[in-house]
Amino acid sequence: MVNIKRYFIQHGILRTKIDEFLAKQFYRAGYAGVEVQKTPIGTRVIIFADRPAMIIGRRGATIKKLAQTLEKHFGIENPQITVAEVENPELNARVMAYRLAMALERGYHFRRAAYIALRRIMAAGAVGAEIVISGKLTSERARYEKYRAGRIYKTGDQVNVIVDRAVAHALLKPGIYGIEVIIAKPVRPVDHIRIKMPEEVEQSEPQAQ
Amino acid sequence: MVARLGRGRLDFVIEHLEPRVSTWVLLEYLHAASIVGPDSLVITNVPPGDRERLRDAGLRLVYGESVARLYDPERLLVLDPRAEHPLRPADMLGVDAIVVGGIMGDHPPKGRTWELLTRRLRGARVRHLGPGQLSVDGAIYVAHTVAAGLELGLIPLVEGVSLSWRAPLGVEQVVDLPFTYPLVGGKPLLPPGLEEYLRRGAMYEELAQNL
Repeated sequence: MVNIKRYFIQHGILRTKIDEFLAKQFYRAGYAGVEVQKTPIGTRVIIFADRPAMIIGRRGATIKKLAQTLEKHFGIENPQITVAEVENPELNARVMAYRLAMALERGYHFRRAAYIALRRIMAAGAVGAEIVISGKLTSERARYEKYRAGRIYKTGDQVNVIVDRAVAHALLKPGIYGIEVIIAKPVRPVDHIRIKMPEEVEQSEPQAQ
Repeated sequence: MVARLGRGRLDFVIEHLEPRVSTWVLLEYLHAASIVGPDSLVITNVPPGDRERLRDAGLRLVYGESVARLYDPERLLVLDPRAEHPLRPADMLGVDAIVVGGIMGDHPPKGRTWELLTRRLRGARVRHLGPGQLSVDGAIYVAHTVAAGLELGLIPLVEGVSLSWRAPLGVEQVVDLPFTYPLVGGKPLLPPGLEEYLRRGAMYEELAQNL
């Protein structure tokens, strides 16, 4: 009998490995995430990206190479790769973190790049967003610069549903910088607490003892 | 041979160990000078181009030579977070100067004071100021207070300072400094002008000019 726990853990580890590999390989293409589905004829791999053309390559050259890599190094049987455009890139923390990292690598002003990213996220309808840039410039102290707008949730179970968080690294001349993007998406929380108005409350008869 | 210093009173020495003097470095040095007095603060190992800048800013004792050449290393007390023992008022006896590394710290700290300063000063006493990483001016303040006779444990310190301000378009901007600062009157002791410098983000322009 297949050990169910082990099966799911192995599946999760494989998914994470593929995710990390793709994130490293395609961060310039605005990689957003991957879905791995088993089908009767093989394995379906759906890659979400901001710019799918960069993952497909010229006449599908990159995607063919990728299929070989997934089969050879990750042991995926007959991978069927589909590349899809991410629906709302401004609300995807990973896409925004990579965009910001690339902007910094291209020499954009730190603060301006962070402000532009923050404004785009908020314009896309996010409830809140936070961008943290950490690092050390030469002859300056190490520090964390945070830019916040709207409401950010950091605790509670709702964080798993509402908040998207991603980390990217930008390699610059004076050193490496960490970029963290937290986006509170415009999702209605599962639970909802409010105080009822008096007219909504039905008066129940006191029970006779 | 450079004439050795050691003027029969306690000097506070900052051995400059950064490749250049940025505005942040300068603000900390000027604050240190205001704490101990400009005639007691000696800045050593300053690159040739930056010496005039420091002197113009009002620092009187600026030298290009290292502290090892200016003082007798056996009469120095080095402040290094890697030291075994904490600083005590009795440690100041028979000491010409207290040496602080002019380093803008990493987080987590890399132990550069040990690499660049303490290892080269054989025979010097080495003491620490607690587990936290202090700023240059903060270390000078604490050392100065201990030299005045107060025990290290009685000086209030705070770990991590967070500065925040409202930016346009409803953005809140926060700068977290993961270092230890002395508390004076319940507030962390920061160099005057540092908050304004961080708020303006002037360091990026300055860095771009220097690269």
